[in-house]
Parts: sequence; structure tokens; C-alpha cells
Amino acid sequence: MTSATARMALVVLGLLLVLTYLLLRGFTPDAALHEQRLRAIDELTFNEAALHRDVLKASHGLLLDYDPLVATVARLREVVAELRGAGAPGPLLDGIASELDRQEALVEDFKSAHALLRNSLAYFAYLSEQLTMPTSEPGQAVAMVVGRFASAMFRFVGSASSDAAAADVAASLDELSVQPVPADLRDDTEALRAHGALILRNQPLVDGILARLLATRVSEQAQRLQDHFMEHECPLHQRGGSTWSPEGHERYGCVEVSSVAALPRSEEKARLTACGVRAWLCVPLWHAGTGVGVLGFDAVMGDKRWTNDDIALLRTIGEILVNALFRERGERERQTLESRLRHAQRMESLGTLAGGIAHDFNNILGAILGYAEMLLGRLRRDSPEWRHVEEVKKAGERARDIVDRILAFSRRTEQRHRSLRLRPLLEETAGLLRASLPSTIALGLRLPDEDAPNKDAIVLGEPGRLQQVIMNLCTNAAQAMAGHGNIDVALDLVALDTEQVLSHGALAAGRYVRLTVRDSGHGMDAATLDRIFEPFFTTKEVGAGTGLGLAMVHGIVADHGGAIDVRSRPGAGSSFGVYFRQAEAPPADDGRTDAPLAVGRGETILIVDDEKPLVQLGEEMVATLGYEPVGFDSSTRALAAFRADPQRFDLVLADEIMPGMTGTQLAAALHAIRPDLPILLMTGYSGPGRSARPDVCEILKKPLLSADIAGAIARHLHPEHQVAAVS
Amino acid sequence: MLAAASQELVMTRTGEPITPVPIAAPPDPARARLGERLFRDVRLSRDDRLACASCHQLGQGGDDGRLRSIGADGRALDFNTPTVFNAALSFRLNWRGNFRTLEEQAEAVLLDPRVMGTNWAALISKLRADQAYRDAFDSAYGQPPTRPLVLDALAAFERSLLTPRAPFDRYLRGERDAIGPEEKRGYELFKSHGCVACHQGVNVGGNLFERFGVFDDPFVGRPVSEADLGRLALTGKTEDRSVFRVPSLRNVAETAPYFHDGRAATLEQAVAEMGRIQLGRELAPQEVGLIVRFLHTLTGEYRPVASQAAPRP
Repeated sequence: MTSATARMALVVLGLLLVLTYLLLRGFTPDAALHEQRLRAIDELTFNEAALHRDVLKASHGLLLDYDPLVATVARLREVVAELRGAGAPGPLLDGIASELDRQEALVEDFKSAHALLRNSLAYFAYLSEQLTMPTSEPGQAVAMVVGRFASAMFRFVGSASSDAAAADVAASLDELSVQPVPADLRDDTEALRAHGALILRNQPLVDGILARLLATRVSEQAQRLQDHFMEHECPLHQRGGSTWSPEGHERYGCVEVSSVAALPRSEEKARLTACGVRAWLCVPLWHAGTGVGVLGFDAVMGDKRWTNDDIALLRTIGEILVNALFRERGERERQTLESRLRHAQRMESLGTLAGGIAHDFNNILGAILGYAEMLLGRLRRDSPEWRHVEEVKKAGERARDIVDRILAFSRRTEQRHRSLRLRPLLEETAGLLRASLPSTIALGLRLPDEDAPNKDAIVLGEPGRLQQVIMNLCTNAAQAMAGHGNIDVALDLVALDTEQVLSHGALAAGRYVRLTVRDSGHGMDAATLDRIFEPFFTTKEVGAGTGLGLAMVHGIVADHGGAIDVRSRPGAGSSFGVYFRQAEAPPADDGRTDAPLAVGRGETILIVDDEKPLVQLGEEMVATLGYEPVGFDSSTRALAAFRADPQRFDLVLADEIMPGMTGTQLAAALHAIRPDLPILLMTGYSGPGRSARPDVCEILKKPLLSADIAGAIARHLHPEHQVAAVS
Repeated sequence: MLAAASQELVMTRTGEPITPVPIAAPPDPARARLGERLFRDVRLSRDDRLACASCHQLGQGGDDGRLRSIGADGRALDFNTPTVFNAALSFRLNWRGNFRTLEEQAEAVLLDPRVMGTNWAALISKLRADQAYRDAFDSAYGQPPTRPLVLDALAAFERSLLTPRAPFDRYLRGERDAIGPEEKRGYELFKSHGCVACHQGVNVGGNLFERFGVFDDPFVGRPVSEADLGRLALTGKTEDRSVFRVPSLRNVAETAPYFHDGRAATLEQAVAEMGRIQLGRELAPQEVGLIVRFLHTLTGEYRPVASQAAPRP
């Protein structure tokens, strides 16, 4: 055996080791470990989102106890310990661990400050109510001061503790401290001042902690850890073989130069000689009929003639290598897709979380608005109380707008999509935008050529919501520019031959309508880009934005089966490309295609059941169907609310068996006020049918099914659009 | 499916800030039983005089009824001894919340010269010299006694010291008559007066830190001790002055005297003092009485681990 062969054998041995490694990787516990790490990283992200949700809920008094916060913090720490056990690199994990420590300290501060604040707010409300209902003459003067104090305080609490409102509260505290107070009210007044002072101190504190808590970046760091794993799980990069292939040296599909010295003089020969290469074999690598590279073997000790067996063996090795390479490449693509999928799942889970909060809020807002309206009906229009309650109602309505936007992000129910022309919609929206944007921002519009096929860009969708997409993207673009710059909006048609992965979603092959909004603003970095569509994520300062605009865009686009591609770099502006599948059918003239789905358009449904959980359940079902539920657990209160504003409700869903007034009695009373009102009765018992109940349109059997409710509501709400097969 | 969902709503959405203690058998009865033996063994202290159970008397609410317990050196400790019952449900342990896990806390108590005053070498050699312990460790862990196993067994026992089925928990689980009308009014006051802002969750407290002395100075008329400084003594941060872990109120009727210094001999005094110091409110005697009635309903049942059912396989 010559030393060249020995060296050759070493090369082959080395290669075999590499191949063995590559082949075995698919079966070793590495894969399981990799999965475990990715799951742990996901869990970090998910738990941070849950923590953010729970502190938000707590800050609005919707979290009844702190155990969920404690459990989430503990779980996050456990996950980091698990990742340490699974061999995650120390420095990256240390970064996460220190972010978790910071987060935990903030959670502790939050709980301590929030518990006091919540307590004082409750006391303040109770005491101010007591003191504004004076029973004595000197109490009247105190009541006036306390009334001003209370309204200053509610402005302060509602205004994210603005400085102006804080100054008003401080002034009221001073005013109260010099106000002569009769002896019997002294304790309450003192307590009111003490709690008022605590709120003044703690509300900004809690707001500040909350803002810092919502800005924790565990998931961002988790993403870096994931990137690290992805990068280092990637295959060993094969050194590229030589591409030099002189003619006349072919053997069995390989190129062999058995003696470099015997080659004619050439630049290649000079280079090979300079490198000490004496002989050379090149095995081309093929995959699916395409040349993908070559495998080169150098002999350095002397000339070498490879045997046929050598070449056959090396060719086999080449094939194995190519297969391994392509499997690895496929794996990498799969991982990229997986990470997109995880992103999608994360958006989905955030949507669910946000939807949950929004629903809780909606119920509370329903009560606030309902009672505010009732109260307005009883108060004199020129009284200060009427103005105060009117403010409550307005604030409640603003809150409802925000909730609607959250719901737009999270709602995943089927919509009534119809085919529509995007081009006129875009032109109309651009007109609206030009009117609202400052004149220093130029809005340019590029539309498909007049003679282009499908120049109107027909898609399936809901015009109002698609308009929101355009409005929000342009508003976002305007906000990314400090007062002046250009926004370019373009509409074009794209045909994709193969599946394509976008920055935020993936598209199957097909024809698409693309809406592009490009700005010359400040752009963003990769970390921001990754999170822009999350609800409550905002780069604006606290209070300046809700962080819901783009989340809503994402929700609407996802609902329309579209996808979004965002390109941006810091300082280089951003471009948002929104893809909708191109629709074939021209828009129907009446604007209404077949509508088999019995879903609502925000009509208000009054739900009455004496069991609270069932009211909630009913509300949830009805809300999911797209109606606006207003629930009561007492028929007398429901009747009072109805009497206050009979036109507010579009349909009534009432339980039959209720204490005080049965569903049938309630129906009669409601019809006495408004005879055209559709009323549905729910009952768990069989009894007299509808004939015995002239005021009832239909009797539904408990337990209620969504489909039954959907059908029944649609039947009686819009009898003119009667749908044949609803159930 | 919807019918099932509606039932779930009824079962779990109590909408109350307090949740019942879980009813669950300990995950490993053999280890818990071994832990109990260690818990009751005086050989865990330097002079074979004190056991964990000397201060945490299971028949006495899990503490010893003293203002402050007496340690191995015969002197009073710094803090009133908290109950060991449901300690596993608290997010941190001890008055200052200086321990995150039962194991950390147990080790600190064993090694503290003022409490149990032992060291691991002495303790492990005492245990290894005892054939009964060697057998018990062997059957629970398959190994002779070591530091981590001793701590694990003690923690396993402490985790079995939950007290479910308190009348209030039965009420939360749907037994409407498990507590009487006055007790319900007491609970309403507990919520409306703001006690519940801190005392909430499964352990009715034990899940956050709070300052003692929000509206009034609790240390008037006596020198402030190091214990009174609360977490300040641990963290050195001024904002942690007199900040303590909010204690659990489970079994509170059984754990007099109250507060970190044992200052309140009765529950009535403790409630009145909380109202004054933490809520800025002089509670009427009748209100105090009702809240105390409610607090009595938080006393649960303790079933010794020997009698608890083995976990399902």
C-alpha cells in the first residue's frame, strides 16, 4: 500500500465518519432533545404572554387573585432550569434568567402596589358615596367638596394618571384638609383623605410598573436562543470541491488526473503544483438529475491511478453524501416552516387571550353602559350629575371601540365574505386618508393598468374590514414618519408558481391581489418586526397608542385567508405587502351573494336567565355568533332596562322558569311596550307549547346548542332573509 | 358538548377571590411517612432536644401557641413560628419570605445554631447508625440517608400537610349551607373592607409581599427590632422596610398568637389591628366579630399521611 493510498484511506475514513454522523443524527436522541428545547422556548414565549395578560387583567380588576401570576412566574423559572439541563448555552440562558429576575421583581412590586391601590379605590368609592349623601346641614358643604374630589379622582384614575389630573386631585386633598367637618363625619373624611393620598401615590406607581412589565422581553431573548439552536443544529458545511474539469480525463462519469505533472502547461497546472497536488480525482454530485457539486480527492505524495473499484466506491459515497445533504437541507426548510407555524400559533394564542380579555371587558362595559343609560333617564339634563354620567357613558363607548378592535384581531368566526372590487375601495379609502393626513405627508397611489386583466383586483371579503386594513396600514405608515414623507400605496396582481414563505405567513401557489403600503419612515429592526402584529405591542410611548392597529390588520387579513409580507430596515422605511387570493367571480350586483351562515352584524340581543353562569354562557354563544349580548339574571331588571330604552334591543332570549316573573310574563310585559319585538323562550321542561304563549315567537329547548340559537335568531330577526337550511 | 361546557361554568366559575385547597393524596406516601418520622425526631437537633414537631405541633394548628418559640440554645427566636399546615401552597416561606422551597427552608432551620443547631455530618451519621432509618430510606429511595434525601423526605411530608374541606371550601365547592348566614356576612365584610386585596388565592394570602403599617405606625411605644424591619434586613433596600410576606389565613383560628411578633393574643385583636394599621379603618366590634366568624370557617381537616389513600397508579 503506497502512502498515497494510506492517505486516501484516511480521507475516506474521515468521510465515512462524517457520513455516519450525518446519517445517525436522524435517529439519535439529539432530535428529541432538539424538540424538547424548542418546546421549552415556546413555553417561555407563551408564559410571558400569559403573564402580560394577567397583569393587564389585574390592573383592570379582572383578576380575582394573584395565584395565576405566581404560578406563571414559577413556571418560567422552571423552564429556564429545564433548558439549562438540556444543554442550552450559558450566556444566552443567563440573559433570559436575568430578564426573568427583573420580571419577577416587577411582578412582586406590582402585586404589592396593586393590592393597596385596589383596596383604596374600593374604599374611596364607598366613602365618597357615603359623604355625598349628607344627612345634616354642615354635611352639605362637605358633600360639595367630596363630590369635586371624587370627580377629580375618577378623571385621574381614568387618564393613565396624567399630571393635570394629578394636580386636581392634590388640590382637592388640600381643599378637604381645610374644610370644616362635623364631628360625626370626621372619621370618614380622614379615611377618604388617607385613601385618596394613597391612590395619588400608587396609581402612577402601578401604571409605571405595568408599563415596564409589559415591556419585558423574555420572548425576544427566547427567540435568540431558538435562532442559536437552529443555526447550530444545521449540517456541517461541506467544503466545496474543485470545479476544474479538463477534457480527456473522464472515467466512469468522474474526472481523473492521475498525474498533474503530465498535464500541459496551464494556469490550473501551476496552481495545483503550487498547492503540492500530484494527482486528482473529481466525483460529480447529482441530485434529481441536476449537478449540485463535486467531491474532490487530492493525492499529495505522488502520482496516482485510481482503480475502478475505488471510483465505484467513491461514487457511492458521493451519492450517500448528496442524499444526506439534501435531507439536511429539507430538514432546515422544515424547521423554517415550523418556526413560521409557531409564530402563527403564537398569534393565534395571543388572539385567544386577547379575545378572552375583550369578552370580560365587554360584559363589564355592558353593565356600565346599561346602568349609565338607566341613570341618564332618571337625571335632569341640566344637572351636573347628568353630565358626569354622560361622561361615564362616553368613556364606556370609547372603551367599547377598543374592545371591538381587540375582537377584530381575535375573532376567527366565518364572516359573510362576498366578492368585491378592491380598486374602487382603495380609491375611496385614499380619498378619506388624504383628508385626514397632514399635508406634509404625500399619499401616492399606483393602480393596475387600465387594460390589465382583472384590473379591478377582485377578492372575496368584507368591504368595511378591508377598508380598515388600508386605513390602519396607512395610519401606521404616517406614524412611522416624523410629520413628513411619502406613503406609496400600490395594488397589483401576482401569480405564484410555487408555495412562498412570507415574513408573516405563507402562500400556496396561485394568483393573488397584492396591496403594498410603503413608507419613507424610520423603519424597524428584526426584533420589532417579529412582534408588530401582536396585540398591545407598540413602540410608541405608553398612552400614545393602543398597539391594536396592526394586530387588527393581522386579524382581518388572516380572516380573509390572506398573508402579510413585511420588509423593513432601521432608517430605510417599511413596506407592508398584503396578499389576498384573487377571486374569479365578478361581484354580484346586489352586493349580497348567498348567505347560508346565520351570523349577526352586531344586533343587540337581550338575554334573561336567573342563573348567572347560564347568562354568561348565553352571552358567549351569542357574541360568538356576531351579536351584541346584554345579559340580566333577573326578569324585573331586564324589564327595567328595556323600558329605559326599548329601541336598543333587537331580539329577546328569555328563560321560562324564573323567580318573580316567568319568561312568558316577561314577554307579555315587553310586548306591551314594543309589540314588534321578537321574543324567544328557553326552557328545560316540556310544558304548554307556543299556542299558549301568544307573545313568544319560538320555544327553544335547553341545553341550548349554538346552531339552534343561530338559526332561531336569524329566523326571527330577519324573517325576510329566511334561510332554508339553518340547522 | 355545550351542555358539558355549561356544567363546567357552574362548577369552576365561582367568581370568588379565594379558591379551595385541592383534595389530593400525597404523590409518594412512603417518602411522606419517612419525612414525618424525621419531622418528629429530636435527633435532627444538636442536643437531641428539639424536633421540627416541637414548634410545629400538628395537634395545635401546626405551630406552638407561643409568642416566639424557644430554639436549641434556650433563647427565644426572632419571629413567631408560622404554621406548617399548607406551607406548601405559599409562594415563599417564613415571615420575610426568604425561602423559595420547602427544602431550602428545612435546611436553614436544621443548620441555624439558634434553631436546631445541627450539622449534616452529625445528622447523617446519627441516621445511618439507626437500622430502622437505613431500612426506611432504602425502601423509599433505594439509598442510605444523605442530605438531599433527608430534605426531600421532609418536604414530601410537608407537602402532605394540606388541610382541605374547610367549611368555607365546602361552601366554595357548592355546599351552600356549609357556612351560616353570619359567616357569610363576615365574608362579605372581609371582601368589602379590603382584607381580600391581600388575603386571596388558594392560601388566602401567602402569595405576595406587603408593607406592615400602610396607614398607621405599628411600632409605636417600643423600640424597633431587626425582625420589625422585615425584608429590609435581607435586601438592604429602604423600600423593603417592614415589608413581610402576607401570611396565609388558612386555619388562622388555630394559630394564635398573631403577627410576626405575636403581638395579638386573639383573632379579634388581630382583625381590629389589621383594620387600623393596614386599612386605615376603626372597625366596629360587631364587624370584627363577623369577620372572625368567617375566619373560623377557614379551618380545614388534617388527615395523617398514614391514613391517606395511596395514589392511583
